[in-house]
Amino acid sequence: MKISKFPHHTLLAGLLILPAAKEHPYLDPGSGSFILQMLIAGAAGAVFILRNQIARFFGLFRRDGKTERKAGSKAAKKRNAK
Amino acid sequence: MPSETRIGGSFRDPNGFLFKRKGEVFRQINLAYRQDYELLKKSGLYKELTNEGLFLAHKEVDIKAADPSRAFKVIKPEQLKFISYPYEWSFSQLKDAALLTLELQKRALSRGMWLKDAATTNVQFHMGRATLIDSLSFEAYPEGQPWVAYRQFCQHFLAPLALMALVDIRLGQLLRVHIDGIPLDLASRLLPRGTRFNLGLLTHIHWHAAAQERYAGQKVSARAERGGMSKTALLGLIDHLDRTVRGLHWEPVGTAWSDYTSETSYSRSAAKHKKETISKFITQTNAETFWDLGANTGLYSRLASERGIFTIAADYDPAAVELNYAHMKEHGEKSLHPLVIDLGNPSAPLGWANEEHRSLLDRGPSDAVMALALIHHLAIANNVPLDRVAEFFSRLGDWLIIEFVPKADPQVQQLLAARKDIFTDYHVDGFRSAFQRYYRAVAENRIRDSERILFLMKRRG
Repeated sequence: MKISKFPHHTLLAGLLILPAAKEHPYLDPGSGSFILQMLIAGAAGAVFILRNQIARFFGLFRRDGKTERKAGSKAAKKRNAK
Repeated sequence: MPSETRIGGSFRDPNGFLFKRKGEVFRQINLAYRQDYELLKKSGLYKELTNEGLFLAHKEVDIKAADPSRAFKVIKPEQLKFISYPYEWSFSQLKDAALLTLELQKRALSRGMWLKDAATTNVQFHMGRATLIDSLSFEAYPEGQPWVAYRQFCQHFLAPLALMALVDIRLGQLLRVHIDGIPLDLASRLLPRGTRFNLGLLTHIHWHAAAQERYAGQKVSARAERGGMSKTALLGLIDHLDRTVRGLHWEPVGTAWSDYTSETSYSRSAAKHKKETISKFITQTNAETFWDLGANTGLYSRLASERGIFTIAADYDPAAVELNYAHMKEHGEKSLHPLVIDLGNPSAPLGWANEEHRSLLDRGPSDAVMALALIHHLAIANNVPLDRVAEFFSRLGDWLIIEFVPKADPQVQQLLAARKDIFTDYHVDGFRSAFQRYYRAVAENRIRDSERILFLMKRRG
Protein backbone atom coordinates (compact mmCIF):
# COMPACT_ATOMS: atom_id res chain seq x y z
CA MET A 1 0.00 0.00 0.00
CA LYS A 2 1.32 3.46 -0.91
CA ILE A 3 1.47 5.89 1.95
CA SER A 4 1.14 9.17 0.19
CA LYS A 5 2.29 10.49 -3.13
CA PHE A 6 5.64 12.13 -2.81
CA PRO A 7 5.93 15.27 -4.95
CA HIS A 8 8.19 14.78 -7.97
CA HIS A 9 11.02 17.18 -8.36
CA THR A 10 13.52 17.58 -11.14
CA LEU A 11 16.21 18.71 -8.69
CA LEU A 12 16.30 15.22 -7.22
CA ALA A 13 18.50 13.86 -9.95
CA GLY A 14 21.45 15.91 -8.70
CA LEU A 15 20.99 14.84 -5.10
CA LEU A 16 21.42 11.13 -5.72
CA ILE A 17 24.00 8.64 -6.96
CA LEU A 18 27.45 9.72 -5.66
CA PRO A 19 29.02 8.43 -2.43
CA ALA A 20 28.22 10.22 0.84
CA ALA A 21 30.30 13.24 1.85
CA LYS A 22 30.80 12.62 5.54
CA GLU A 23 30.87 9.48 7.59
CA HIS A 24 28.46 9.96 10.44
CA PRO A 25 29.65 8.34 13.60
CA TYR A 26 26.78 6.01 14.27
CA LEU A 27 23.39 7.40 13.36
CA ASP A 28 21.88 6.56 9.98
CA PRO A 29 20.25 9.79 8.84
CA GLY A 30 18.24 7.93 6.17
CA SER A 31 18.44 8.89 2.48
CA GLY A 32 14.79 9.92 2.28
CA SER A 33 15.13 12.08 5.41
CA PHE A 34 18.19 13.82 3.95
CA ILE A 35 16.61 14.41 0.58
CA LEU A 36 13.37 15.72 2.05
CA GLN A 37 15.31 18.28 4.08
CA MET A 38 17.21 19.44 0.98
CA LEU A 39 13.95 19.78 -0.92
CA ILE A 40 12.23 21.87 1.71
CA ALA A 41 15.39 23.83 2.62
CA GLY A 42 14.54 26.82 0.42
CA ALA A 43 11.02 27.20 1.73
CA ALA A 44 12.08 26.61 5.35
CA GLY A 45 14.79 29.27 5.08
CA ALA A 46 12.53 31.78 3.35
CA VAL A 47 9.72 31.38 5.90
CA PHE A 48 12.24 31.65 8.74
CA ILE A 49 13.67 34.91 7.39
CA LEU A 50 10.20 36.30 6.74
CA ARG A 51 8.96 35.44 10.21
CA ASN A 52 12.02 37.05 11.79
CA GLN A 53 11.54 40.19 9.70
CA ILE A 54 7.88 40.41 10.69
CA ALA A 55 8.75 39.87 14.37
CA ARG A 56 11.42 42.58 14.16
CA PHE A 57 9.03 44.97 12.41
CA PHE A 58 6.34 44.60 15.07
CA GLY A 59 9.00 44.63 17.80
CA LEU A 60 9.83 48.22 16.80
CA PHE A 61 6.40 49.33 17.94
CA ARG A 62 6.44 47.40 21.18
CA ARG A 63 7.97 49.26 24.06
CA ASP A 64 7.94 46.41 26.54
CA GLY A 65 9.59 44.20 23.92
CA LYS A 66 12.69 46.44 24.07
CA THR A 67 12.67 46.41 27.85
CA GLU A 68 12.42 42.66 27.84
CA ARG A 69 15.34 42.27 25.48
CA LYS A 70 17.48 44.59 27.60
CA ALA A 71 16.58 42.71 30.76
CA GLY A 72 17.35 39.47 28.99
CA SER A 73 20.80 40.59 27.96
CA LYS A 74 21.58 41.79 31.48
CA ALA A 75 20.53 38.44 32.86
CA ALA A 76 22.70 36.71 30.29
CA LYS A 77 25.71 38.84 31.26
CA LYS A 78 25.12 38.07 34.91
CA ARG A 79 24.93 34.35 34.16
CA ASN A 80 28.13 34.39 32.17
CA ALA A 81 29.92 36.31 34.91
CA LYS A 82 29.23 33.55 37.44
CA MET B 1 28.40 -9.04 41.46
CA PRO B 2 31.31 -7.24 39.69
CA SER B 3 32.25 -3.82 41.12
CA GLU B 4 32.23 -2.32 37.60
CA THR B 5 29.57 -2.73 34.93
CA ARG B 6 28.92 -1.11 31.56
CA ILE B 7 25.49 0.49 31.36
CA GLY B 8 23.38 -1.34 28.81
CA GLY B 9 21.93 1.49 26.77
CA SER B 10 25.12 3.42 26.01
CA PHE B 11 27.04 1.14 23.65
CA ARG B 12 25.95 2.46 20.26
CA ASP B 13 27.91 5.72 20.21
CA PRO B 14 31.63 5.05 19.56
CA ASN B 15 32.47 8.37 21.23
CA GLY B 16 32.10 6.91 24.71
CA PHE B 17 29.96 4.93 27.11
CA LEU B 18 28.59 4.88 30.63
CA PHE B 19 29.83 2.59 33.34
CA LYS B 20 29.01 2.05 36.98
CA ARG B 21 31.76 1.68 39.54
CA LYS B 22 31.09 1.20 43.25
CA GLY B 23 27.49 2.32 42.80
CA GLU B 24 28.36 5.56 40.98
CA VAL B 25 27.83 6.33 37.30
CA PHE B 26 30.75 7.58 35.16
CA ARG B 27 31.12 8.26 31.47
CA GLN B 28 34.23 7.41 29.51
CA ILE B 29 34.86 9.89 26.69
CA ASN B 30 36.85 8.30 23.90
CA LEU B 31 39.68 9.95 21.96
CA ALA B 32 37.33 10.03 18.94
CA TYR B 33 35.27 12.71 20.71
CA ARG B 34 38.20 14.85 21.89
CA GLN B 35 37.76 17.76 19.44
CA ASP B 36 34.00 17.96 19.93
CA TYR B 37 34.37 17.83 23.71
CA GLU B 38 36.91 20.64 23.65
CA LEU B 39 34.63 22.71 21.41
CA LEU B 40 31.68 22.08 23.74
CA LYS B 41 33.69 23.63 26.57
CA LYS B 42 35.48 26.35 24.57
CA SER B 43 32.36 27.57 22.78
CA GLY B 44 30.63 28.32 26.10
CA LEU B 45 27.76 25.99 25.17
CA TYR B 46 28.34 23.64 28.09
CA LYS B 47 28.38 26.52 30.58
CA GLU B 48 25.30 28.19 29.12
CA LEU B 49 23.21 25.02 29.11
CA THR B 50 24.26 23.67 32.50
CA ASN B 51 23.73 27.09 34.14
CA GLU B 52 20.15 27.01 32.92
CA GLY B 53 19.54 23.39 33.92
CA LEU B 54 19.03 22.27 30.31
CA PHE B 55 22.01 19.93 30.28
CA LEU B 56 23.24 17.61 33.03
CA ALA B 57 26.43 18.96 34.58
CA HIS B 58 29.49 16.77 35.07
CA LYS B 59 32.95 16.88 36.61
CA GLU B 60 36.13 15.59 35.03
CA VAL B 61 37.56 12.98 37.35
CA ASP B 62 41.00 11.48 37.62
CA ILE B 63 40.19 7.79 37.85
CA LYS B 64 41.12 4.78 35.77
CA ALA B 65 39.08 4.55 32.57
CA ALA B 66 36.98 1.44 31.95
CA ASP B 67 38.64 1.02 28.52
CA PRO B 68 42.00 2.86 28.82
CA SER B 69 43.14 2.16 25.24
CA ARG B 70 40.39 4.39 23.79
CA ALA B 71 39.92 6.84 26.64
CA PHE B 72 40.36 10.60 26.44
CA LYS B 73 38.71 11.49 29.74
CA VAL B 74 36.41 10.13 32.40
CA ILE B 75 33.62 12.37 33.64
CA LYS B 76 31.24 11.96 36.54
CA PRO B 77 27.79 13.31 35.65
CA GLU B 78 25.45 14.57 38.34
CA GLN B 79 23.88 11.35 39.61
CA LEU B 80 20.27 10.73 38.64
CA LYS B 81 17.87 9.14 41.10
CA PHE B 82 15.81 7.34 38.48
CA ILE B 83 15.83 6.63 34.74
CA SER B 84 12.45 6.66 33.02
CA TYR B 85 11.46 5.83 29.46
CA PRO B 86 9.22 7.69 26.99
CA TYR B 87 6.39 5.14 27.19
CA GLU B 88 6.27 5.99 30.91
CA TRP B 89 5.82 9.71 30.23
CA SER B 90 2.60 11.61 29.92
CA PHE B 91 1.85 13.62 26.79
CA SER B 92 3.26 16.87 28.16
CA GLN B 93 6.39 15.19 29.48
CA LEU B 94 7.13 13.88 25.98
CA LYS B 95 6.25 17.27 24.49
CA ASP B 96 8.58 19.07 26.90
CA ALA B 97 11.38 16.63 26.07
CA ALA B 98 10.79 17.34 22.34
CA LEU B 99 10.82 21.11 22.83
CA LEU B 100 13.98 20.83 24.94
CA THR B 101 15.70 18.91 22.13
CA LEU B 102 14.80 21.62 19.60
CA GLU B 103 15.87 24.39 21.96
CA LEU B 104 19.23 22.69 22.47
CA GLN B 105 19.66 22.38 18.72
CA LYS B 106 19.04 26.13 18.28
CA ARG B 107 21.40 27.07 21.10
CA ALA B 108 24.08 24.72 19.79
CA LEU B 109 23.84 26.14 16.26
CA SER B 110 24.42 29.63 17.63
CA ARG B 111 27.74 28.38 19.02
CA GLY B 112 28.97 26.39 16.03
CA MET B 113 27.69 22.98 17.15
CA TRP B 114 24.59 20.81 16.68
CA LEU B 115 22.92 17.72 18.06
CA LYS B 116 24.20 14.61 16.35
CA ASP B 117 21.33 12.56 17.78
CA ALA B 118 17.86 13.27 19.09
CA ALA B 119 16.73 10.19 21.01
CA THR B 120 14.11 10.33 23.75
CA THR B 121 16.50 8.45 26.04
CA ASN B 122 18.92 11.39 25.87
CA VAL B 123 16.41 13.28 27.99
CA GLN B 124 15.53 12.64 31.61
CA PHE B 125 13.46 14.50 34.18
CA HIS B 126 15.95 15.87 36.66
CA MET B 127 14.97 18.24 39.48
CA GLY B 128 11.48 18.34 38.03
CA ARG B 129 12.33 19.35 34.47
CA ALA B 130 13.42 17.85 31.17
CA THR B 131 17.23 17.80 30.95
CA LEU B 132 19.64 16.49 28.34
CA ILE B 133 21.75 13.80 29.99
CA ASP B 134 23.90 12.59 27.09
CA SER B 135 27.22 14.44 27.37
CA LEU B 136 28.24 13.21 23.89
CA SER B 137 25.26 14.57 21.94
CA PHE B 138 26.90 17.73 20.59
CA GLU B 139 29.38 17.86 17.73
CA ALA B 140 30.88 20.59 15.53
CA TYR B 141 28.26 21.80 13.05
CA PRO B 142 29.20 20.65 9.54
CA GLU B 143 28.06 23.79 7.67
CA GLY B 144 25.72 23.07 4.79
CA GLN B 145 24.53 19.62 5.84
CA PRO B 146 20.94 18.61 6.54
CA TRP B 147 20.29 17.57 10.14
CA VAL B 148 21.59 14.07 10.70
CA ALA B 149 19.09 13.46 13.54
CA TYR B 150 15.99 14.74 11.70
CA ARG B 151 14.64 11.22 11.08
CA GLN B 152 15.30 10.25 14.69
CA PHE B 153 13.59 13.36 16.04
CA CYS B 154 10.47 12.73 13.95
CA GLN B 155 10.31 9.05 14.95
CA HIS B 156 11.08 9.55 18.63
CA PHE B 157 9.06 12.69 19.31
CA LEU B 158 6.84 14.06 16.57
CA ALA B 159 5.17 10.80 15.48
CA PRO B 160 4.18 9.62 18.99
CA LEU B 161 3.04 13.11 20.00
CA ALA B 162 0.87 13.43 16.90
CA LEU B 163 -0.64 9.98 17.42
CA MET B 164 -1.29 10.63 21.12
CA ALA B 165 -2.87 14.02 20.43
CA LEU B 166 -4.85 13.22 17.30
CA VAL B 167 -5.69 9.50 17.44
CA ASP B 168 -5.53 8.05 20.96
CA ILE B 169 -3.41 8.86 23.98
CA ARG B 170 -2.67 5.15 24.46
CA LEU B 171 -0.67 5.05 21.23
CA GLY B 172 2.24 6.44 23.24
CA GLN B 173 2.66 2.80 24.24
CA LEU B 174 3.85 2.02 20.69
CA LEU B 175 7.21 3.31 21.95
CA ARG B 176 7.49 0.15 24.03
CA VAL B 177 7.61 -1.92 20.86
CA HIS B 178 9.48 0.60 18.71
CA ILE B 179 12.26 1.75 21.00
CA ASP B 180 13.96 3.57 18.11
CA GLY B 181 10.81 5.60 17.58
CA ILE B 182 7.60 4.97 15.68
CA PRO B 183 8.25 4.16 12.02
CA LEU B 184 6.97 7.11 9.98
CA ASP B 185 5.10 4.95 7.49
CA LEU B 186 3.15 3.48 10.41
CA ALA B 187 2.47 6.93 11.88
CA SER B 188 1.39 8.18 8.46
CA ARG B 189 -1.11 5.32 8.08
CA LEU B 190 -2.52 5.73 11.57
CA LEU B 191 -2.98 9.50 11.49
CA PRO B 192 -6.36 10.82 10.26
CA ARG B 193 -6.50 12.00 6.65
CA GLY B 194 -7.18 15.52 7.86
CA THR B 195 -3.61 15.80 9.15
CA ARG B 196 -2.53 16.25 5.52
CA PHE B 197 -3.92 19.77 5.84
CA ASN B 198 -1.55 20.47 8.72
CA LEU B 199 1.62 21.69 6.97
CA GLY B 200 3.91 20.46 9.77
CA LEU B 201 2.48 16.95 9.87
CA LEU B 202 2.16 16.82 6.08
CA THR B 203 5.85 17.62 5.70
CA HIS B 204 7.50 15.89 8.65
CA ILE B 205 5.34 12.78 8.83
CA HIS B 206 3.48 12.11 5.57
CA TRP B 207 6.00 13.40 3.00
CA HIS B 208 8.83 12.22 5.21
CA ALA B 209 7.42 8.67 5.22
CA ALA B 210 6.90 8.81 1.45
CA ALA B 211 10.45 10.10 0.88
CA GLN B 212 11.84 7.29 3.04
CA GLU B 213 9.99 4.73 0.99
CA ARG B 214 10.95 6.27 -2.34
CA TYR B 215 14.66 6.84 -1.69
CA ALA B 216 15.41 3.93 0.64
CA GLY B 217 19.02 2.84 0.33
CA GLN B 218 20.00 5.45 -2.28
CA LYS B 219 23.19 7.35 -1.72
CA VAL B 220 23.13 11.11 -1.43
CA SER B 221 25.70 12.93 -3.54
CA ALA B 222 28.66 14.49 -1.75
CA ARG B 223 28.06 17.85 -3.38
CA ALA B 224 24.40 17.89 -2.45
CA GLU B 225 25.11 16.76 1.12
CA ARG B 226 27.79 19.38 1.72
CA GLY B 227 25.81 22.27 0.33
CA GLY B 228 22.32 20.81 0.62
CA MET B 229 21.05 22.98 3.43
CA SER B 230 22.18 26.42 4.55
CA LYS B 231 22.26 27.26 8.25
CA THR B 232 19.28 29.59 7.77
CA ALA B 233 17.31 26.76 6.16
CA LEU B 234 18.28 24.45 9.00
CA LEU B 235 17.11 27.03 11.55
CA GLY B 236 13.91 27.30 9.54
CA LEU B 237 13.44 23.53 9.73
CA ILE B 238 13.99 23.53 13.51
CA ASP B 239 11.60 26.47 13.88
CA HIS B 240 8.97 24.64 11.84
CA LEU B 241 9.37 21.46 13.89
CA ASP B 242 9.06 23.58 17.02
CA ARG B 243 5.81 25.15 15.83
CA THR B 244 4.46 21.76 14.76
CA VAL B 245 5.18 20.25 18.19
CA ARG B 246 3.73 23.28 19.99
CA GLY B 247 0.59 22.94 17.89
CA LEU B 248 -0.15 19.47 19.30
CA HIS B 249 -2.36 19.41 22.39
CA TRP B 250 -4.07 16.81 24.47
CA GLU B 251 -6.63 17.54 27.17
CA PRO B 252 -6.79 14.92 29.93
CA VAL B 253 -10.48 14.07 29.82
CA GLY B 254 -12.47 10.93 29.35
CA THR B 255 -10.20 8.38 31.03
CA ALA B 256 -11.18 6.42 34.09
CA TRP B 257 -9.70 8.46 36.92
CA SER B 258 -9.07 11.95 35.67
CA ASP B 259 -11.81 13.36 37.88
CA TYR B 260 -10.05 11.92 40.91
CA THR B 261 -9.33 15.28 42.50
CA SER B 262 -13.03 15.65 43.15
CA GLU B 263 -13.36 12.09 44.43
CA THR B 264 -15.88 11.48 47.16
CA SER B 265 -14.57 8.26 48.75
CA TYR B 266 -13.87 10.14 51.97
CA SER B 267 -15.55 12.68 54.16
CA ARG B 268 -13.48 15.75 54.97
CA SER B 269 -12.51 14.41 58.40
CA ALA B 270 -11.62 10.99 56.96
CA ALA B 271 -9.41 12.58 54.30
CA LYS B 272 -7.68 14.65 56.99
CA HIS B 273 -7.14 11.59 59.16
CA LYS B 274 -5.80 9.62 56.18
CA LYS B 275 -3.29 12.36 55.39
CA GLU B 276 -2.14 12.62 59.01
CA THR B 277 -1.69 8.87 59.31
CA ILE B 278 0.27 8.62 56.06
CA SER B 279 2.50 11.54 57.10
CA LYS B 280 3.24 9.80 60.38
CA PHE B 281 4.06 6.55 58.57
CA ILE B 282 6.34 8.33 56.09
CA THR B 283 8.30 9.79 59.01
CA GLN B 284 8.73 6.31 60.47
CA THR B 285 10.20 4.96 57.22
CA ASN B 286 12.97 7.58 57.15
CA ALA B 287 12.94 7.06 53.36
CA GLU B 288 15.08 8.94 50.85
CA THR B 289 13.36 7.38 47.85
CA PHE B 290 9.65 6.73 47.71
CA TRP B 291 7.43 5.07 45.11
CA ASP B 292 3.72 5.83 45.23
CA LEU B 293 1.97 3.17 43.14
CA GLY B 294 -1.50 4.02 41.89
CA ALA B 295 -0.68 7.62 42.79
CA ASN B 296 -3.32 9.15 40.57
CA THR B 297 -2.81 12.93 40.50
CA GLY B 298 -0.25 12.77 43.32
CA LEU B 299 -2.32 14.12 46.20
CA TYR B 300 -0.72 11.74 48.71
CA SER B 301 2.65 11.44 46.88
CA ARG B 302 3.22 15.07 47.84
CA LEU B 303 3.20 14.13 51.51
CA ALA B 304 6.59 12.57 50.73
CA SER B 305 7.92 14.80 47.93
CA GLU B 306 7.19 18.02 49.82
CA ARG B 307 9.69 16.88 52.45
CA GLY B 308 12.34 16.64 49.73
CA ILE B 309 12.06 12.84 49.42
CA PHE B 310 12.55 11.81 45.79
CA THR B 311 9.12 10.43 44.90
CA ILE B 312 7.88 8.44 41.92
CA ALA B 313 4.14 8.95 41.46
CA ALA B 314 3.10 6.10 39.17
CA ASP B 315 -0.33 5.54 37.71
CA TYR B 316 -1.67 3.60 34.76
CA ASP B 317 -3.98 6.42 33.71
CA PRO B 318 -2.23 8.88 31.37
CA ALA B 319 -4.81 11.56 32.25
CA ALA B 320 -3.98 11.41 35.96
CA VAL B 321 -0.26 11.55 35.20
CA GLU B 322 -0.79 14.47 32.84
CA LEU B 323 -2.65 16.40 35.56
CA ASN B 324 0.02 15.50 38.10
CA TYR B 325 2.81 16.72 35.80
CA ALA B 326 0.92 19.96 35.06
CA HIS B 327 0.55 20.57 38.80
CA MET B 328 4.22 19.92 39.59
CA LYS B 329 5.34 22.16 36.73
CA GLU B 330 3.07 24.97 37.82
CA HIS B 331 4.37 24.78 41.38
CA GLY B 332 8.02 24.23 40.45
CA GLU B 333 8.20 20.97 42.39
CA LYS B 334 11.60 19.31 42.16
CA SER B 335 11.27 16.01 44.02
CA LEU B 336 8.24 14.49 42.30
CA HIS B 337 8.41 12.35 39.17
CA PRO B 338 4.98 11.40 37.75
CA LEU B 339 5.03 8.33 35.48
CA VAL B 340 2.56 6.23 33.50
CA ILE B 341 3.02 2.68 34.76
CA ASP B 342 0.58 -0.20 34.53
CA LEU B 343 1.37 -2.44 37.49
CA GLY B 344 -0.47 -5.28 35.79
CA ASN B 345 2.21 -5.15 33.10
CA PRO B 346 5.14 -3.04 34.36
CA SER B 347 7.93 -1.88 32.05
CA ALA B 348 10.09 -4.80 30.91
CA PRO B 349 13.77 -5.02 29.94
CA LEU B 350 13.95 -4.05 26.26
CA GLY B 351 16.35 -3.55 23.41
CA TRP B 352 19.62 -5.27 22.54
CA ALA B 353 20.29 -8.24 24.85
CA ASN B 354 17.34 -6.97 26.91
CA GLU B 355 19.71 -4.42 28.39
CA GLU B 356 18.96 -1.07 26.74
CA HIS B 357 15.85 -0.31 28.78
CA ARG B 358 15.66 -1.65 32.31
CA SER B 359 12.60 -3.19 33.89
CA LEU B 360 10.76 -1.36 36.65
CA LEU B 361 11.95 -3.94 39.17
CA ASP B 362 15.55 -3.51 38.09
CA ARG B 363 15.34 0.24 38.73
CA GLY B 364 14.43 -0.39 42.36
CA PRO B 365 14.26 -1.07 45.12
CA SER B 366 12.99 2.09 46.66
CA ASP B 367 13.28 2.78 50.38
CA ALA B 368 9.51 2.84 50.70
CA VAL B 369 6.50 1.92 48.59
CA MET B 370 2.98 3.22 49.02
CA ALA B 371 -0.18 1.63 47.59
CA LEU B 372 -3.34 3.48 48.50
CA ALA B 373 -6.71 2.23 47.29
CA LEU B 374 -4.88 -0.06 44.89
CA ILE B 375 -5.17 -3.53 46.38
CA HIS B 376 -8.70 -4.17 45.09
CA HIS B 377 -7.67 -3.24 41.55
CA LEU B 378 -4.84 -5.76 41.65
CA ALA B 379 -6.62 -8.52 43.56
CA ILE B 380 -10.11 -8.24 42.08
CA ALA B 381 -9.94 -6.38 38.76
CA ASN B 382 -6.66 -8.10 37.82
CA ASN B 383 -7.22 -11.45 39.62
CA VAL B 384 -3.77 -11.39 41.27
CA PRO B 385 -3.80 -13.46 44.50
CA LEU B 386 -3.01 -11.39 47.60
CA ASP B 387 0.19 -13.30 48.44
CA ARG B 388 1.50 -12.58 44.92
CA VAL B 389 0.80 -8.88 45.39
CA ALA B 390 2.68 -9.00 48.72
CA GLU B 391 5.64 -10.82 47.13
CA PHE B 392 5.84 -8.29 44.26
CA PHE B 393 5.66 -5.28 46.56
CA SER B 394 8.34 -6.78 48.79
CA ARG B 395 10.71 -6.74 45.80
CA LEU B 396 10.04 -3.05 45.14
CA GLY B 397 10.95 -1.60 48.52
CA ASP B 398 11.84 -2.11 52.18
CA TRP B 399 8.87 -0.32 53.69
CA LEU B 400 5.24 -0.55 52.63
CA ILE B 401 2.38 1.81 53.36
CA ILE B 402 -0.74 0.10 52.12
CA GLU B 403 -4.46 0.72 52.34
CA PHE B 404 -6.85 -2.20 52.57
CA VAL B 405 -10.22 -1.57 50.94
CA PRO B 406 -12.82 -4.08 52.18
CA LYS B 407 -15.37 -5.80 49.98
CA ALA B 408 -18.22 -3.69 51.34
CA ASP B 409 -16.58 -0.53 49.98
CA PRO B 410 -18.54 0.99 47.06
CA GLN B 411 -15.42 0.96 44.88
CA VAL B 412 -14.99 -2.80 45.35
CA GLN B 413 -18.71 -3.36 44.86
CA GLN B 414 -18.44 -1.52 41.55
CA LEU B 415 -15.71 -3.94 40.44
CA LEU B 416 -17.87 -6.90 41.42
CA ALA B 417 -21.06 -5.52 39.88
CA ALA B 418 -20.92 -7.54 36.67
CA ARG B 419 -19.01 -10.62 37.77
CA LYS B 420 -19.21 -13.52 40.17
CA ASP B 421 -17.44 -12.98 43.50
CA ILE B 422 -14.77 -15.70 43.46
CA PHE B 423 -12.53 -13.82 45.88
CA THR B 424 -13.19 -15.75 49.07
CA ASP B 425 -9.80 -14.78 50.59
CA TYR B 426 -10.36 -11.07 50.02
CA HIS B 427 -10.96 -9.87 53.58
CA VAL B 428 -8.76 -8.15 56.12
CA ASP B 429 -7.60 -11.40 57.78
CA GLY B 430 -6.75 -12.91 54.41
CA PHE B 431 -4.87 -9.72 53.61
CA ARG B 432 -2.91 -9.81 56.90
CA SER B 433 -2.09 -13.47 56.44
CA ALA B 434 -0.87 -12.99 52.84
CA PHE B 435 1.33 -10.02 53.70
CA GLN B 436 2.83 -11.35 56.92
CA ARG B 437 4.82 -13.92 54.95
CA TYR B 438 6.86 -11.07 53.47
CA TYR B 439 6.40 -8.23 55.94
CA ARG B 440 6.43 -7.49 59.63
CA ALA B 441 3.44 -5.34 60.63
CA VAL B 442 4.60 -2.09 62.25
CA ALA B 443 1.37 -0.11 62.56
CA GLU B 444 -2.29 -0.41 61.62
CA ASN B 445 -4.82 2.45 61.64
CA ARG B 446 -8.43 2.36 60.57
CA ILE B 447 -9.33 5.56 58.75
CA ARG B 448 -11.84 7.62 60.68
CA ASP B 449 -15.47 7.40 59.38
CA SER B 450 -14.41 4.63 56.99
CA GLU B 451 -13.98 0.85 56.79
CA ARG B 452 -10.62 1.22 55.12
CA ILE B 453 -7.43 0.42 57.03
CA LEU B 454 -3.91 1.81 56.60
CA PHE B 455 -0.97 -0.48 57.35
CA LEU B 456 2.72 0.27 57.77
CA MET B 457 4.92 -2.77 57.17
CA LYS B 458 8.63 -3.52 57.06
CA ARG B 459 10.01 -6.18 54.77
CA ARG B 460 11.33 -9.29 56.50
CA GLY B 461 14.99 -10.20 56.30
